[in-house]
Amino acid sequence: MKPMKFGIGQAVRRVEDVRLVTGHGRYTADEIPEGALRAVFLRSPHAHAAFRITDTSAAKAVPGVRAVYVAADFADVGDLPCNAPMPDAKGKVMPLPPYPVLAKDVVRHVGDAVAMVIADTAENAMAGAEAIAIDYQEKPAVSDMHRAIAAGAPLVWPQFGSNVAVAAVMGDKAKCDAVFASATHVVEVEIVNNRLVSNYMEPRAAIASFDAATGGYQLISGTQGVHNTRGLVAKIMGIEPEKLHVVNHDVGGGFGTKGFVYREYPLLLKAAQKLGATIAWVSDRSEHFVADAHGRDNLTKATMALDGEGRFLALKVDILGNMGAYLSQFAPYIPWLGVTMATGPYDISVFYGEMRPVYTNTVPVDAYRGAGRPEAAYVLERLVDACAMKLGLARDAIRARNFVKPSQMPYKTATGRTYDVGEFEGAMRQALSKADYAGFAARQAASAAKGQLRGIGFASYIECTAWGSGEEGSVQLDEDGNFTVLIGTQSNGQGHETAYAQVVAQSLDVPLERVRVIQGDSQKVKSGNGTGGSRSIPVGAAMLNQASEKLAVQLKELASDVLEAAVSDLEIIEGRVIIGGTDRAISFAEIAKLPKATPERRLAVASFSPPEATYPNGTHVCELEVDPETGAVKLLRYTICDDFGMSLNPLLLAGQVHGGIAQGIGQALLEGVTYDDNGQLLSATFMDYCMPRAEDLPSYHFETRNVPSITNPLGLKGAGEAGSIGSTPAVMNALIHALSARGVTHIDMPATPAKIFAALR
Amino acid sequence: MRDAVRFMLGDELVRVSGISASLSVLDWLRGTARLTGTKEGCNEGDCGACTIVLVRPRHGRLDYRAVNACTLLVGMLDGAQVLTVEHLADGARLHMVQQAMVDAHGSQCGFCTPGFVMSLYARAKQPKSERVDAAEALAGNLCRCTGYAPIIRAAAMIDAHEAPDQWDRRSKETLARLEALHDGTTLCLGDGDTCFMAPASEDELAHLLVQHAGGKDAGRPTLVAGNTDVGLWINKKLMRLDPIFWLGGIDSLKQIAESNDHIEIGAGVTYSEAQAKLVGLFPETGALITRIGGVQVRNSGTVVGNIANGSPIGDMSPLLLAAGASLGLRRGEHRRKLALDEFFLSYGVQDRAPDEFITHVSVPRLKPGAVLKAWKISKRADQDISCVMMAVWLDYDGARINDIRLAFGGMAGVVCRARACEARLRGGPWTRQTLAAAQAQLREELQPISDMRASAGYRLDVACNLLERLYIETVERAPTRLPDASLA
Repeated sequence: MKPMKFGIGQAVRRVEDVRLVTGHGRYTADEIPEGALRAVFLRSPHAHAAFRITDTSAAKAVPGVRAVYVAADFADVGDLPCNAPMPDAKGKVMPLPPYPVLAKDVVRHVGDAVAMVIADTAENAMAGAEAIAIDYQEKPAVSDMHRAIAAGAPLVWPQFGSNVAVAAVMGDKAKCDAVFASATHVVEVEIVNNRLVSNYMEPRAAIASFDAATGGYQLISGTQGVHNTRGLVAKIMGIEPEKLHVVNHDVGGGFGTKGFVYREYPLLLKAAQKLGATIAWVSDRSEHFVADAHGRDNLTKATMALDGEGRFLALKVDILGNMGAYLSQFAPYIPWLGVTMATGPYDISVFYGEMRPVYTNTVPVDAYRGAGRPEAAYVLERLVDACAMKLGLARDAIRARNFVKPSQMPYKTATGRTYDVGEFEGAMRQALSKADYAGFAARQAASAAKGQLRGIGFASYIECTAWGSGEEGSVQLDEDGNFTVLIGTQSNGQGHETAYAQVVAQSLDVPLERVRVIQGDSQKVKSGNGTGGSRSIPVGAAMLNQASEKLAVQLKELASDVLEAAVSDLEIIEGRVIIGGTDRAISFAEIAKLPKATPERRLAVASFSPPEATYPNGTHVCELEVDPETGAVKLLRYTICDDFGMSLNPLLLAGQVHGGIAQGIGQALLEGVTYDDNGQLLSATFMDYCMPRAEDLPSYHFETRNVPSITNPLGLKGAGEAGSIGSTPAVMNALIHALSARGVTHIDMPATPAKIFAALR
Repeated sequence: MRDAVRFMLGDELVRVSGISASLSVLDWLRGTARLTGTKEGCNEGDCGACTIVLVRPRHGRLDYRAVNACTLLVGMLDGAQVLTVEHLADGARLHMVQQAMVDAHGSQCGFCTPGFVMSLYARAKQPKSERVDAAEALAGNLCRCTGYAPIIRAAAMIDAHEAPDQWDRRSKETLARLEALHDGTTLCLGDGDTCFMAPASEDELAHLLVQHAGGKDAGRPTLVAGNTDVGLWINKKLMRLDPIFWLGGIDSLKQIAESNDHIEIGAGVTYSEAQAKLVGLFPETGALITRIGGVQVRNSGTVVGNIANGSPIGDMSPLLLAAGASLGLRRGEHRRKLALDEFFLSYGVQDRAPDEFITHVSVPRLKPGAVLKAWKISKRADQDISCVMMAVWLDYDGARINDIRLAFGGMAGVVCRARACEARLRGGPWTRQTLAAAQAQLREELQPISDMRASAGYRLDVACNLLERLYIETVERAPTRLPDASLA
């Protein structure tokens, strides 16, 4: 590809930043119009209770309160959907529990919404919510998965007779058992993947309005795709999608969690229609902890069968996935997605996996950065280290021995996926070399002299991104000579305005300021599948590249008449079409004014659907020190060598990787949702939920060793989640390596000083 | 009395009256002034998305401080200049701090960015010799997207390329305008329903409190200094506080008085202001004192306020308890002195009448041969609540313990001393044997609770280990004492 000043591969600064660093970003809560009413949701303080709202008159009498709504007021509104019910071994699909927009008769987790109060101010709405008379009859609750699957556990959904929703399986159990029976070594680990809260810095917010004249609704919110939101919310409300206009302005972080349809959206729209008013709701931080889906929360048993040389013969995984009280949009599919990536970068021909989603009286769980793949990679890389330890093999040697080799590509996994390309050992060797793995012993000795336990650990991961749906979009030459991109993905902070402008600049050689990217408007942009699964660049940019190349040809065609030259003699240089080797040229602005430059000829539409996922992969190396006196961990070095196929913008790419690692380190060492045995949420503020701060994170050395993907024309692989996938096992393997000097072979996340301290004793 | 708070918003002089006593600066900025660049990320002073910079005259020059707008009440802006993220760019030209954030790719989703920009800006305004390292300056700001490293790089870029900005060029004029606002009158701000009082003198405060207590249907007055804790009662517990008395208008309470044997820290002195003095008094606690809260919290919160609210996990109280500090209290014309030990009665209860206020805390200097050490054990270095905090004052001659005070936070419903353990140690030889006896005594004496932060067993183990650390640092490794980077 020809290097262009602002084009693909350039580390250009972001065009979004000027507005963001000056405070002119437009987030939902910044857009609440004067006079809008405010909504507040009354939420259950109990994990499980029957309830009756006995009186709302006092609430309605609170000054400023305009309406108090309970479940009965929304009889015509449908339930929140779960679009991913899983089948059992016989193909019988699990039953879906109802997920009403407001709880009726029973609340099933702390934070379950029971009423909505609308008032002129948020304060008055809160006062109204406090004045609602409500009788709770507490029921036994269960928050822990081990307890939930035990006999006699309180049932979240009594009609199902069990808290286990289904047992979904993959692979041939008998065949797998046979391999295990004859294996020289069997190594097993039991791993907790702790529950996390997304904690995007912008809490969710929504502004709903209704136009009685047209019957049209508008929802302004921060989501991960206006079209998906529109489709689902319209379906819940029982209206035509065309009647709902969804708008996103700037979105302050999403991480998967902002991608779901939440109950507040249809409720606010319905209330806006009933009251004929614009209604705004802004979640506060504590509400985020109970109203937005949580992430992770798996218990996994994984077992490897090995031969005498340490070759992996077969893998078994048994996953319990905490669903929370209701099934969020993709909930049971998330651990299943992990099952499909269970064999990772290794050549393991026999596999059996079982995944059981479990109901508990906790906040629903759904996709969070990585969604199933971090869980899978964490289990596998912990298991591989355990294998190395058991067999007395070097950790790099056992990996190298078992990696899928480049010569085996395309490689079909025992879980049914096809890896197109990948050089896993190459990335591992490069990462270890950069991390000076060979020189570790000397550093370890220096630490030991100071009484510190030093460890180094690494993880080789592979993940899947950008599978499934495609993207259609367009680029057009505007009348003023600038360009407009319409696309249905949604930046949540990744810098799409910059990345997409670079793709256009690659074909049309214009500065990025001349490319306007329009996203987040379901009327302006015809269709889209939003952002998630790291798809926006591998699908969106691949599509936009086609559109831009197409437009370049169209513009040359328009220019060829004026310049009296054949299209094949024309080049595009610095915003002009020029006859190669001459100074005869016409600018884009001039082309736009040509009589023949009809809107159709100035517009190029393209669509791209990936035939298969892309498979980013790489190795993370972490080096750390543990203070045995206190259990405190200090991260010393962090090295990453990743294969993202192609680097569209190295600056943005590094940003994605760093951010993902920060979340992975947070999960490994600091973060964890804490429920007590009665389902009471104990960690619902930043004081009690330990977010990583600047001091907690190291600086990183990141480099790429790209092997272009063959599933999209630009060779791209998705990079939004990889950081969170490689990091937890790298950190934990390093930690266990450090602690192994004192005989510790297992510790679960989050490895807090208290846990480490206990493990050392 | 004046019924309007007066401050500069950027370059504009603003007078605000007729507002609720508990209206936060964040809500006022976003709602009334429509400056929405300042964000609400948590509304409890933990995330820093609402960081703004307050500029006040100090020793004849302008002092720039990053503070959280969410726990700041509008009345507390009296006499200050408020700078928000919207005030930094000079026309279309980005401020150097903003440009550094762009160049380092320090912003992704952008929601936390205004807070980071303002924290970096305030840091850049400190004289280079006083500038803390970037990670420390940013400890009060959360970012979920970047992993912080790019923002740390932005800080380094700022340090490398600084030049006066438009506010520096106007500093003389701003100083004069702010000094003119300092009129020595008491501010009484309210909406008819609630009242925010900012007395102009200590006498006025004493008088008003007693007068209020004698009034009919008088609500219990809430004394506020930095509002870093009371702000949460307002934002999170939705408590209606009336009246609020703010100590920040009283110059005499902002003094640190020094004598040969002690220093007196006034009730209006912030952590940031007291920090250097305290580190000077107790050099071995430096790592702890300089890392209480984040910068924003230290710039608002006061040493006395942290004591006055009686939190069992306050960081300052164990330290001052071990140091042998005492409080000065005043009620009307009556003044009394109280040993800090006697102030904490039980969980949530302190020995202070509703119309009484603490004027200062008096901290004795270390006598020769004595040391004061303190360790805080928490999950995270910054902005975290202690699982265990231990502070110890030790007077020893190398072999024998002449006297000792051991104070703990996080081990009971109040900050407490381990007196039985002290008795075990006092007068004894400072040996491993004495240590073991003291540890056993500690296990008997302290009955911490288990909560999500730590189990009772962990707390006891850590407390005993900290005692051992004390032994190691003062005996076994005494000649070359460990550096004080003892935050865990």
